[in-house]
Amino acid sequence: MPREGVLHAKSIKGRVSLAQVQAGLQDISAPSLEKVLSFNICNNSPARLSQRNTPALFGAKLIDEIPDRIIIAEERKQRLTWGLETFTSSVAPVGLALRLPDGRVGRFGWKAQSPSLAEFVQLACANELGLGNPGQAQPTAFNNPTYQPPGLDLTLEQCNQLTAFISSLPRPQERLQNISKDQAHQGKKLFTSIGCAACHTPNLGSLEGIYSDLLLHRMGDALEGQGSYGQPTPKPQPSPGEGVPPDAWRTPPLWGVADSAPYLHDGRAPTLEDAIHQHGGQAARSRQQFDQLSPEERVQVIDFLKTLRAPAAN
Amino acid sequence: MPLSMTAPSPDAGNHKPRLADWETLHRVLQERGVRPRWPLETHWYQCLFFPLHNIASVLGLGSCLAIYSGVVLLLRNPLFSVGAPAWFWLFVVACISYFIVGNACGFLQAVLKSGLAAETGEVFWTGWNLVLIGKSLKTWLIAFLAGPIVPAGVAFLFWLYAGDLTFWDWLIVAELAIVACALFLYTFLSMVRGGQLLDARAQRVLELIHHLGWRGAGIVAAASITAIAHGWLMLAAIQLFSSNFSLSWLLQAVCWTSGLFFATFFFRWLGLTARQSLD
Repeated sequence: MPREGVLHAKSIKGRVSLAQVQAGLQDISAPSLEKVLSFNICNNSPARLSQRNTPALFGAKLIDEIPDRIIIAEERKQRLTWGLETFTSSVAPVGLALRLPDGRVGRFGWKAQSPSLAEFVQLACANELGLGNPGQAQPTAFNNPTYQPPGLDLTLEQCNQLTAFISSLPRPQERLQNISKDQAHQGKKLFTSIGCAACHTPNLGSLEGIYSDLLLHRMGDALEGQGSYGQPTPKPQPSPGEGVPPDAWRTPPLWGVADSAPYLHDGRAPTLEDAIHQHGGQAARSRQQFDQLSPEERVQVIDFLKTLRAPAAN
Repeated sequence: MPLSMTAPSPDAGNHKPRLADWETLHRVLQERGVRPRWPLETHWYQCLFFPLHNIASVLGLGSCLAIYSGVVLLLRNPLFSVGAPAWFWLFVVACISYFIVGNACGFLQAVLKSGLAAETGEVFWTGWNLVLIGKSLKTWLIAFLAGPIVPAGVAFLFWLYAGDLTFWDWLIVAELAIVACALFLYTFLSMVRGGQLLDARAQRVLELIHHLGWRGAGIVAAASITAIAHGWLMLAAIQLFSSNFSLSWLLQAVCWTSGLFFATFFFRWLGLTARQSLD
């Protein structure tokens, strides 16, 4: 089984060589991530690399508080709406609530691999920052699999403090910044009528304005991306994120989307319109509907999305 | 009032009768020819032969329903992709459902009527009269809305919002579904027997339950459990559609045919039992 891991874009520094990631990779000094990915494809390297876009954390506590049964109910509603179609459909927008081995439903991360904010924070500390903690050990180095760190870098209390800080972040808001109320209202109507709201549901349970169902949806071959946040060593059992198809991604909440560019799982879309145009798979029909709108109507949809702002500075 | 076998109308053949009511339908079909007859059932297991005596209707309707449900499932995604307005496709599906599902409902209602009237022979049902189909569908709909909608709604909401269900949760859903089904059968029987909308009232249904006693309750319970089991099988067949098209369609055909077979059996048995208990 090929080893998989997640390589943080900022971890590729000038002094680090790819040979330390995977023996046999050509040494490239100060590579850009585009070079790394294109090198990987051209040279048929066994290391599979996939870039990840950092998610915004505003309102994370509210997402954490959504009961599992609400996310599961959303999955069931979508199945009923689309004639009991399943998640494997490449056409109907039927999502999947990712059940983790302990039965909880994942809701954080691009592959919905974390069921709670605390675990998401611990996972990010270990894998993005190399800070081992009681919840998640830091990844084993590819070039030194037997290395055992002398201890943990963070205590549980420190992790909880981090989680508490993120929980304290206010939720994003809908603000009419240089956009008329009528324009935004029309845009919101079109957002629903062309099918965007099928996955980017405005409300989830009692949480209003999230614009996400927190379910995994298949987005098409062009948006494939693998990699897990677990230990990058072969495992007999699939860990969260590894069992799902490579083109399946959790619907990201659109609240605050106007202030969280770039977009999509690897940040390949610099603008909202680019992001919409790259929707495929289960979202292809909505993308086509968007393309068939008049230029004025497309502007209305974008203007509506631009009202979804990060919380104000004060 | 149960239907009775009457002599042909003196002016039969002089004008084209309106088939918009059950009595006229019976009379006309009786005039048109001799139906195969057999002795009236005296034991419950003899009712198992009733669907066999009406095998053409059972198999024909079962096949139509299987083809219909298979085609609807097959066209789910293409219909979504084509992008015609949702109301258009809903209208098309509703029209076809009216005819195919309405025919099945009308046939089963005729089976129940034949039991209530202690008729022997093939069931009187013509599949082409849209007005009669509409009347039958109206009876079924009102019988559902008059009471069973409550436990059915509770079961649905429980399934939707209870998260991943344990064995005990599924038991609760099944029990509520069985209660809804049983209540529907009693209400439907009351309406078919009385022939009026007001027979769907709770008071009339309770009187019927009392008069039918434990024997009626046993039949209704068995019928409800069988109906729920067939519903389960149908859901499994639909789940299988994306991965194994042929097996799914075969399962659907088996489910519809078997469901119609047992529905015919139970409706006949219930009709005869109601006639014996209430007369």
